[in-house]
Parts: sequence; C-alpha cells; structure tokens
Amino acid sequence: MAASAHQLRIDLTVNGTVHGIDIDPRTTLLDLLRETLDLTGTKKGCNHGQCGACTVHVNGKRVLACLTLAALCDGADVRTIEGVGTPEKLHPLQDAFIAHDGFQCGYCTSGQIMSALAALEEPWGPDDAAIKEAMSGNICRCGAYPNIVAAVQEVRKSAEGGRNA
Amino acid sequence: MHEFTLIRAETDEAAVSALTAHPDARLIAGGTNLVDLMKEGVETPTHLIDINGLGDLDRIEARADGSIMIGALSSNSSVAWNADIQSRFPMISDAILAGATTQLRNMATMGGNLLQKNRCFYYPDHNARCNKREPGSGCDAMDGVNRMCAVLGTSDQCIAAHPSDVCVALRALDAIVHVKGVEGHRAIEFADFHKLPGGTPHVEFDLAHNELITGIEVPGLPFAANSTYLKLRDRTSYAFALVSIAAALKLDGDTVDDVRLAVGSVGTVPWRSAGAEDAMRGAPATAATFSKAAEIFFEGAKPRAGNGFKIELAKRAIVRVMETLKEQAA
Amino acid sequence: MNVNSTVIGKPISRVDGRLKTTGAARYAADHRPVEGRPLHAVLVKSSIASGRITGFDLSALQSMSGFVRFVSHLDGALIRTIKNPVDGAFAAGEEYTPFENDRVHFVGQHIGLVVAQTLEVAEAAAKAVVVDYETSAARIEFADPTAEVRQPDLYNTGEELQVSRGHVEAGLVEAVEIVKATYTTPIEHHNPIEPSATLAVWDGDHLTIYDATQGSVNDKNYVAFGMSVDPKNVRVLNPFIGGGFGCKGFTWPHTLIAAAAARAVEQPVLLVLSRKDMYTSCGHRPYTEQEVTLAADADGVLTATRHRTQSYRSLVGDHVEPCGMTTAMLYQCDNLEVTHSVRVLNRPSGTPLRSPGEAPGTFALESAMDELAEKLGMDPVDLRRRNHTDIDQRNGRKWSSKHLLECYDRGAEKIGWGRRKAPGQWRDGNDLVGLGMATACYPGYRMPTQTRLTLDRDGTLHVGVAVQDIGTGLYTVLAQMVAERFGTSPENVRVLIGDSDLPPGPLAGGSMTTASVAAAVDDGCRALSEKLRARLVDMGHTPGNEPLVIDGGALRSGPLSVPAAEVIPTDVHEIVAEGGSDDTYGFTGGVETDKSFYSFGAIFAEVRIDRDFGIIRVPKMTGVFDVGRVINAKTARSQMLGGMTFGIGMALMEETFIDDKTGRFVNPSLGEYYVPVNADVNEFDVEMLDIPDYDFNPFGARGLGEISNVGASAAIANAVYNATGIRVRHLPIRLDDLLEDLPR
Repeated sequence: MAASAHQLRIDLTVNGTVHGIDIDPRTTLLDLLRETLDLTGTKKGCNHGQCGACTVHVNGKRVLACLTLAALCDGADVRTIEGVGTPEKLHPLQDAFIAHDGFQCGYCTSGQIMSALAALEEPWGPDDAAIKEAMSGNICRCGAYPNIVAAVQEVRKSAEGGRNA
Repeated sequence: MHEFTLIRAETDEAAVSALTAHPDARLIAGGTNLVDLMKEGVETPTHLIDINGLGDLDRIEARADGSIMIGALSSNSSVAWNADIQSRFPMISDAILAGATTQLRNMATMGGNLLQKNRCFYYPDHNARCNKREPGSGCDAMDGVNRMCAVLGTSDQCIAAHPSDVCVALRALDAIVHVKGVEGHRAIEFADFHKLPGGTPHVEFDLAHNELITGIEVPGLPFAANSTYLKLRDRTSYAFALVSIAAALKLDGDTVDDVRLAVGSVGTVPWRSAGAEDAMRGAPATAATFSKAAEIFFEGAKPRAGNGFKIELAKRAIVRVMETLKEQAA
Repeated sequence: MNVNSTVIGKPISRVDGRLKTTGAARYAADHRPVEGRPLHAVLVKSSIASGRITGFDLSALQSMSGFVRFVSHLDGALIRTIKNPVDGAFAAGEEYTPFENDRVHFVGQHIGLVVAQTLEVAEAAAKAVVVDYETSAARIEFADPTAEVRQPDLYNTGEELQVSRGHVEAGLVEAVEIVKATYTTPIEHHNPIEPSATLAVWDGDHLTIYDATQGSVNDKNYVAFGMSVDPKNVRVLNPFIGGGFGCKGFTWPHTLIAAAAARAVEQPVLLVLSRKDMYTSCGHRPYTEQEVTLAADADGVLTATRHRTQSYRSLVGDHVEPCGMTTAMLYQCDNLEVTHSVRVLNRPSGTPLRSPGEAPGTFALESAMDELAEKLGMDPVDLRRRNHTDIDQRNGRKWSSKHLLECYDRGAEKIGWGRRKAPGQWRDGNDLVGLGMATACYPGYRMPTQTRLTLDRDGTLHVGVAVQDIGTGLYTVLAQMVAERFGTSPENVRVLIGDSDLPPGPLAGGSMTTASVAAAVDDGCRALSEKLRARLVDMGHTPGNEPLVIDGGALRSGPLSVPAAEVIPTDVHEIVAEGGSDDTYGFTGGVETDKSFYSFGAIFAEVRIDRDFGIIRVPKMTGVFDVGRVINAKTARSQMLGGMTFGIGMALMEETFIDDKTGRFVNPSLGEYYVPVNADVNEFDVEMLDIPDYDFNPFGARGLGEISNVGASAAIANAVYNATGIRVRHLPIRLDDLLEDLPR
C-alpha cells in the first residue's frame, strides 16, 4: 500500500486467521477489514459511530469498527460476520434472522447479528424491553426491529432451554 | 484525517513524557470521541499516544471506607455492570447505561468520558463559527439551532451544553479526579475539573496538556445507595439528553436528611446547586420542597430562543426524581 | 389464478436471506474490479450557496504520497451537457451537468473529486483542497420575498398539481363547521443505512458500474448519455441495495462524476458518499407549508375542500412535494381546490422520499379531518365513513378494487377504538393515553416490463428482469410468481435481477415493481409454456389442457411426465422465452381504462405521553391495508412494519435544520438527525385484506412500500391530541411542543 510516510506494522487475528499487515496509521479497523482484507460483510453506514452497521467483536466485545483505529488492534482477536457462519452453514442466530425476517435491505444486518451475538452474552434481562435496549445501537432504517427482537428471543430461549435441559 | 505518528506508551511516565515532548499530541484510549473528531478535522494531533497498554489503570477498586477508585482506563461497560458500583452508586451505573450504546460503552473509557466534547451542531462544522473550535470566530449557536444548548453557565462566547451522562453522576457524588504529570500526582475536585466557557470556551478542563488522568475516586456516601439517574431525550435510546437528573436522597422520617442533586445537559458543565440542596436539607420531603429546590436550581438561567423548555422540563424532572427516591427510601 | 395457491401469499422466507445474514450479499461498495483494487475517490463540495469558483489551491495535495488526481470543471468537458429540461430518456436527480462550469447553486454541490491510491489519502486530500469563490446573493430563506414562485402544472407522474372543481366559496357558505389551519412538515432525509456508492470500471469504451441505485436501466441510460457512449456499452449492476427510500431512485451527479473520473485516470474508481455527502447529494423531502380548509354540513358531509401547498425547489432540481394529490382524490367533495407552488431557492435539491406528497399531505389533510370531527362532535372514523366514495373524485371513474370501509372497521376493532375517551381524559399513572387514526392511500402504478424465462436441463426455472430488490423481498416474490405459474416450489426458481443487461424493468419506486413484474412474469411464463408445449409436441407427446407443471426435474401435463433433460436438446442446454407488458398505469400515457387504481388503508395509533415531561411513546399501532393480493405474507408484513416505523420517525423525531443565512444543513448526520431505534418501536398489528385486484395485473397485487408510511404521522398527531387536547400542526411533535399545555 503506497500511502503514508508513516507506515505501521500490526499483527492481528481475524476470524481465526493471523494477519501481519503494514498500515497507514489513519486506517480504521473498518477500512482495514473492507479495503485490505476484502472482508466486506462489515458495513460502513455513517463512519462516525452513529448507526452500528460496522459492529464487530474485538477481544470478545462488540465495538464499532469505524471508530477503532487499526493501529490500536495490534495483537487483537477480531471476529466479523464472515466468522459467524456461511451461506452453506448458518449460525442459529442467522437462521433465526431469516425465519423471523429480521432484515429487509440487509445492509445493517451484519452489525445487527454481531450485536445480537454479543448481547446474548451480556447481562441484559430476558424481556423484550431489555433486548430492544440492547439492540438500540444498531439502526435499521427499513424498520425490521420487531422481527429482530423475535429472532434474538428465539435464540436466547433455545439457549436457555439447552442450559436447563 | 491528518497524518500522525503513533506512540505506544508502556508506563504512565512514558505517556506523560511523550505528551511533554509533543505539544500537539493527544492521548488515545477508547477513541470514540477523538477518532470521530479527527475524521471531522476538528482534532489534528501530530502524535497519538496509545495508553491502552498502561497496566493497572483499568481496575475498579471498592474500598472498605465505602469509596470506589475507578481506573481511568476502565471501560464504561465494566463500570456500569460492576456489582459494587451498582450497589453503592446506582446513579453511576444508570447514567452510563443511559448513554450511547453497548458498542460505544465497550470502547469508551472513564478517563475519556471526563474529556468528552460537546455536541453543539456548529462545533464540528468548519464552515460554521464556533469559539470553542476556533477561538474568536464567533458563535453560530447563539442565534441558530440551539435547542440542545445550555441555559446555565453560558457566556457571550459559548452556550454549548456539556453532553456527558456519567459526569452528571460524578458531579453529584463529588468525585475526585486523579492525574499524573511531570511534577507527580494531583487530585482535582470534580467541581473544578470542567471549566465554564467565560471568555475562553476552548479551555475546557483543569488539566495541563501533559497530564494523564489515572483514576476517578468516588468518595463513600452510604445514602447514595438510594440514588438514580433519569434521562429525558428525543428518542428512547441512543440519544443525547435534553435534560438529565442524577440524585441521591436520605430521609429522616418525613424530613430530608441529606441530598445530592446534579442536572445534565442544562449547563455548560455538569451542574450542581448548593442552594437547591440546602433548601431541601431539613425540610419536609414533599413535592413543595422539591419544587422549591428546583426553582432555586434554575435561578439565573439564561435561555436562548430554542432551549427555554429545558428549564421547565428539568424542574419537573427534579421533582419526579426526588419523589421516586423518596418512595424508594421509604 | 389458483386462489388456493400453495405458493402465492405464503410467508416464505427470503431466498436471499442466507447471503444477507452472512455478509455474503455484495452491495455497490463491496464489489471489486476483476483485477487489482480500485482507486478511491472523495468529493469536494461547495461551502457557499451561490456564486462561482475562482480557483482551487491544490498545493497541499501534491506532497501527499498516494494522491492521484483532482478532477473539476477545469478539466473541460468530462461529462456531456445535459439538456434542461431533460428529454425523458432518463430521469436525473438534478437538471445540471456536474463540473460543467464554475457556477455554484447550493451548499454541498459537487465541485471537485479527489482520486487517490487509498481512502485515507483521498479523504485527507479532499479536506486539503482550498477553494476560492466569488460569492453572489443567495435566496435561502423560505419566505425570501425576492424568490421566484412557480405553480407547476404536473407532477412527475403526469398528475395535475393545480386542481379545481365546483365552487369552494359556495361550499363554504353551505357549511356549518369549517376548519382552516396551516400545517408544516420539515426537511427530511431518506438516510438509508447504505450510503450511495459507485464503482466505475472501464474496459475500452465499455463501462461497468456497480451502483447503489434503485433503477439500473435509468442509470445505464443516463450514464451512457453523460459519457457519450452507446447505452449498449454500459452495464449497471445492483444485485443488492442497502435501502433507498427514494434517494437512489433517479441518477444523481456523483454517479456520472465517478464514471468520468475513472475514464480520466484510466483505472477503476470507487466513490462512496459520506453520510454528510448524503444530505446534499441525492435529495431530501422539502419543507412544506399546507393550508387546509375543510367545510362540512351538520351531517359531516364535506361541502368544500381547499388544500394549498407551498414548498420549494432548488435551482437545478424540479421536485415538487405533491401534498394535495391525495386530497383531490380521497373524499367525496364537489367543491374543491388544490394548488401547489414552489419557491426557487439556493438550497440542495428535493426528490421523492417514501410516499412523496402522500406522507406530508395526509398529515395535513387527516389532521384537519380530525379537527373537523372534533368541531362536529363526531367520531373521526364515522366522519370518514360519511365522506367515503366509490368514485375517484378526480375523474369520476370507479375504483378497480376499494375496501376502505373494511379497513376502518377492522382497524377500529383491533386497536380497541371503543376505549377512546374525550381529549385529555384518559390517564394511567403518569401517562396520558390517547388514540388516533388516519386514512392511508397510495396510487397503483405500473410500468412497462420485460422478462426472460428459462428452463434448463435440470428442470430449474430462471427468471431475469432488470429490476432491483431494495429490501422489499422482490427476489422471493419473483420466485413465488414463477413457481405459481409452473406448479413448483420457489426453490426451483433462480431469480436474476439487479443487472441492466437483463430485459428492462422499472426503477424501484412508487411501489410499482411487484405489479409491473407481475404482468411481465405472467406473459413470460405463458411464452415459455407455449414453447415447451410445442417442444413436447415435436417430441411426439400429446400434452393435455392441464397447466404445464415443472417440478422434480420433469415437465408434467396431466398424465404426461417427461424429464427436462429429455425435453431440452443437449446442444442448447436451456429453452428461453421472453415476454412482458408495455402497459403503463398511473402515469402519463397510461392504458385507457374506465377504472382508477389505488391502495387504501386505515392506520390507528395509541400513544402514551408522560404528563409532566411530554415524552411521547407509541405502544401500539394498527394498520389494516387493502393492497390487492399479497404475494408473500412475511415480506409484506415486514414492509408494513417498516413503513409504520418510518411514520413514527416522521411524526416524532425526524427534522433537518437549515441555516437560513448560509444555506447549510446544520445536522447532517445520524447522530443529530434522529430516526427510530429498536427501543422506539413496540407493538405493530398489521393486517392486509388480501383481496386480489385482477384488473390491475394477472397476480392481483398492488404495491406495499409507500402506503404503510402514509397516514402514520397524522394518526400519531391525532392520538397526541386525543391524549392531551393539544393540537400540534407541525412535525415532528416533540416534548417541547406539549410541555406548557399538558393537562397535568
């Protein structure tokens, strides 16, 4: 990449694959994923932390890739939508999103699913109000919200059932 | 984004000396506010000093005296869900969870929160006049879209409201900001940390360029177990406050024994009123008392064309919150 | 039509769901050239509202490693001059040629483009361009007395914007109650979560563009014109679009700029608009001021209706927000006047935004109806029933299929309309509770569409048409339509859309895609069926009169069953048929018919308002819609949920502020322009009557996308009135509109 006078070397793991990359220090994690690693499942909606479309997991926590400098991800473990499931082998949450029609245009969906995956591990309560609050950092302009809540609830309940069984 | 050089600081001292060496450097931790403003071109640091590697600064230490020391690098999420914070100072947890979103709270640190920039519409717009961004350029908010702006602590230079949620709670709790500089350690009363705009709205903190925030100490306050944070906003979540209330209440029978009250998004800094609290202490815990305190709180408020509603809204919110705390205390 | 279809109407999950939930669906900015990486481009936009560019200082860019090129009007004619007005071969968002000259007409106009090796460099370089201007007087303020005022005759559909019938003054004299009030709606932005993006790739004089567009065919024609190449040499690909809501409907300057820049630098160029760019680059819903007068006799029958809309347009865009079109059509009224005027201002251009005209227009009309009901002491639903008509008031035609009264009945029952109390009288704890309702309606549009139907040797059916799925579920709906015609499962149908090389179809707007493809698919399936029957006869078979079924890899007709692999000769691999319809409905030059086509519905809202704070929440909304046959119950319901969510945004939070002195939008972001989040949305109860409209097309479907947003803001505003007794005549309605007057 012929860009900046100041190049920086980082090593990071994305979906289990280790990458050693020379980056422009200005590069965000979002642009690194999309433009360098061609992992375009993670979307840019606002680029300013105001929509949630770029949600990924860094070291197990959901964060916004657009406000994360890649330079600060040296040694980090990153998980993106491409690391969750594939069209041939869906994660149960992806199945639930399809079954409940938790999306329309699909553009915010990667972020919604990355958020929902994390939210299921966070200490939110079980009711719809808690899920809605937990998912309010991901804007869906098509308005699939009730269906998103239904999808998350289905997976939460089945996980709970699994634990109780 | 302007070009910058990244420096990774391994120790507090290294961070401080890197700041000392580079007058246009910025520390970066969560980066949620700084990276955004760098993209806008409002922040143009020559150097970014990554302090995420500083060892112990992400600890939350609940002490035997009832106080809690919150490391500056603690994420908002870790503080919000911390069991000691939730039991000793529920208003802190409530305030954090009312702010931003989980993604942002996972990134944002408590130290960074103290330095959160205002959300005045004109601040990030280079084509607008803003004394905070460009001293002496003027203020387009004064006669512009100022619905979100402050009514207390304003000056003829700036009316930007302080947007933080958690700082309102920390103000109510008289937190202490611990910083490290070349001269060593310094403790700053929360009330002194955020500066009124006056004639220098670009000077926002009692913090030297080369000082590092290391922690926030919340002094023990047993009655703060009965505290809460109420945030009123234009949408149910993911919105800055129009008005927010952080309050704690202790009753002695039907009388107010002690009280803390801070109001957010109405002042140019998180706002407290000694007069309002004094008016409640020793008075009957009634709506009339709370209402009178609310009136005192907003004495001297200066609304602009679009934000006068905040005064009435905040007064009603104060009464509602105090009534809620009274019920909880009983 | 098989009314007991196992396919049509069923809640089938989206056939593209696996791609969309795994990040594998590629949107415009996700595509890459066949070889290498594209250069990145960033727009430079004007910071003044009126004047001319006197120069660019690029000195800071030259030292930036990775900077490639700055493109502007100084490069000469990069883009062919677009005639004004545009000649109808394509629809442009704006009627001017980007980079044609030094003129600046509004803040945010594209005046240059930086191309660089990386996005980081392109962004830094664009910020570093210094522009010198000579400023001239700008007309920005809505009320600017020097602004030119126009009364356009026609909307872009060809519908009359100035309508008069009977004698309004006479009707006013007959009335016992008159409501006359002015309602305003703010500037609103579409804000799809996917920003507009164009990847332009030239190969000689052939251009491929991956574009976030709602209309690949229109895009192709406009870009071909602008680049002075044969439309056959331009291919637009848009297999996935991240929402549009109107702002990706027409083709906007940035698409041409990206194509021109890619030609200039002889490398593929990717231009992704920033969120801020989106506010000034592809339209918005303009501010409207609507004076509505409704007069009624003692029985509530309308004796006069007047709806005067004032709005604005830019110097280079001709969008008119057609608020009164609904009023001219909806209720029985012999004395009516509908007018529209626009002021010409130095503001960015408007464009259709989900239900243009209908959404802001019904806010005014349906609020006024609520006010009239209040004055007459009449139930608002009853008032609407009394003015119901089975005749299109504009032209005296009968409706093809109108079941609005059923919508009122079902909606009232479902929301529990009987619970409604007098204004300000329903309290529950700290909440003031209210119910409100409004009528929803949207025209039935159809455009000429062609399809290609293919059967391959596996027995798989393929349907191809140059339309696009902007989230509506069209991939799935097309699969269902074809499956229905051949008695098979949608899984046996492959859908090809989002490619301008396919047989042409309309842009995704005006809720017209399903109805348009319905006729084309029907004809295409007929054509394929005929070919296959002929082939079976050639093979010596005797197919019966029963419909041809293609399932399990075989063709069946009655007792006959022949494997597809036998029907299709090995040397051709597939049998292809084309079909379609040239018919237009709802636009100028449409089919001569004695019927009018419209969808109708009733929206009911329950609001709860904190009695101290005035914070408005919407715990429940009910929508009952008469939209013809529903092709997919699941995706249709989702569209309705989305439209009602849009309505909540419009009613309670969405507003773009403009600085009247400078012409700048003050809050061009998703952080300061609020759209609903998950926590704002509660219970939605959606019902569709599902009554086919076979006069409209062979599948009986009308459109869904827009109607769900129509009436929603009025229903909420009327519920706010019912809860508080406070009538707010502007949008959005926020707590500060209520605070002083709340019945605490």
